[in-house]
Amino acid sequence: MRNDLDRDLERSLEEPRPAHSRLDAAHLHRHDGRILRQEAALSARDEQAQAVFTVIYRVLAVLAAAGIILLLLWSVTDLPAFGGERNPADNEVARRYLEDGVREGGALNLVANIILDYRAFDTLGESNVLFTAACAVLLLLRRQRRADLPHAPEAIEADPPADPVLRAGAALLSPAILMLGLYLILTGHLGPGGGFSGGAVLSGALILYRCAFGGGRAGQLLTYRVWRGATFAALAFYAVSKAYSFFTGANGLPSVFSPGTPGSLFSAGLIPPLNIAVGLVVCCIMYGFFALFRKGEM
Amino acid sequence: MDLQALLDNRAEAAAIILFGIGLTTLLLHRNLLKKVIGFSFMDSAIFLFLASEGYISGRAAPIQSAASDLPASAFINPLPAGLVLTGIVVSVSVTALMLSLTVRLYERFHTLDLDRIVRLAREDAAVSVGAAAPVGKAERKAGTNADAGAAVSAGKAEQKSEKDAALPDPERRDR
Repeated sequence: MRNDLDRDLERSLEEPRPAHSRLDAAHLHRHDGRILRQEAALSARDEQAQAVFTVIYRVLAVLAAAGIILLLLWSVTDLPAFGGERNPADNEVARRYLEDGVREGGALNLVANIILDYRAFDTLGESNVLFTAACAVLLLLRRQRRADLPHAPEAIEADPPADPVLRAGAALLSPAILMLGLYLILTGHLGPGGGFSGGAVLSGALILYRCAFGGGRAGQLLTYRVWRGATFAALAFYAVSKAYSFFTGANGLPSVFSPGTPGSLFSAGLIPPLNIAVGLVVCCIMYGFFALFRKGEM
Repeated sequence: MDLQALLDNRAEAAAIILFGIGLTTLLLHRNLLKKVIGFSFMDSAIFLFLASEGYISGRAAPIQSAASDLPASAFINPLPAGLVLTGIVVSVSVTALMLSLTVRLYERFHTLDLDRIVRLAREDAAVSVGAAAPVGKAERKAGTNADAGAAVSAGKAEQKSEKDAALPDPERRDR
């Protein structure tokens, strides 16, 4: 790594920085008299200063990065050994989640208990971060909104006809991937999986389908209205149901949601519905990112 | 530096080195896409660090079995898994936002070089200030660009012709 950086540095020393200010200066010199000659001199000096600055910046950047890495590595040597049983990170908080999680939350997957029961408010905020990012990308990249701007991006031509191998492979694979995603979401409280991973797998299947068969057919399945409605409904359901469960839980009131028998499919109270809501949000937003970056529309 | 301690904590050390690679990429590259990649490297390094903090040798993933009620000492720490899950979602959101901003910057300035974008943006600001004056800088600016092309065709600095031809016409930019 060090060698590469040094070579970079040398190269930046050797070649002058590309600057069109010199061209401007040459032209202006021909065009007008004294003032412009001064400007040319100034810009030459500017250019030199910029080259010097670049060198200094690169040296300082390498030094700073190396310094930070060495400092952090030095502090890593003081950490307790990797994988030790008595490490301070494994404290009473984690033990409480492990011992009482199944009884209190009802899900066998203890991580699902943490993120959708104990720390469900955190996960709501997280889903909202994803939603906000999707809104920002929609504002920035949606083509319809930018059509009347003076330099609207040239219309992206229709999808090229996909490769027959891709079409056959997608026809075979995308239903299987969809099933896997649904399975991961629906059994997120019983084993590995959950809304986030299942939603990402679902969106992968949709993206594969769209790559193979074009935006037209995928667009019939998931229009902008459906996309907006599904995302909003899932987030609203999450917020309302979690508000109810916080209210009843925090005040010791009887709740209609009970942990049930841990291990059966219909158990763990609110965790499976929340997994479905989170899966829907993640799937819609991942697919939305793809569609917006690909074509600027749903 | 105690090398044995580094070897004992190899997962954390690897995370730090990954973080350093990301940081160096962020500092040294002028291409915006490479900066985004460096940022993602740093994200992944943090996740690796957190996940390795929660690992305990010889224990299983924190999923209780329905048949037998295993004790807490059978599982690794479940908290870092939950935290990393949050972090991954946020890093995906931030990456998408950075990439879409990069797309818009490229559409406007037709380059991904950050220095060049800053310079062009400054020129834009100067032009929009000068446009109020009777002999606006805007006209001079437009002429400069055209003549720069002429100078290039005359044989001056031929290597730069392509780069300069890629510069957008200031009149085409929306304000």
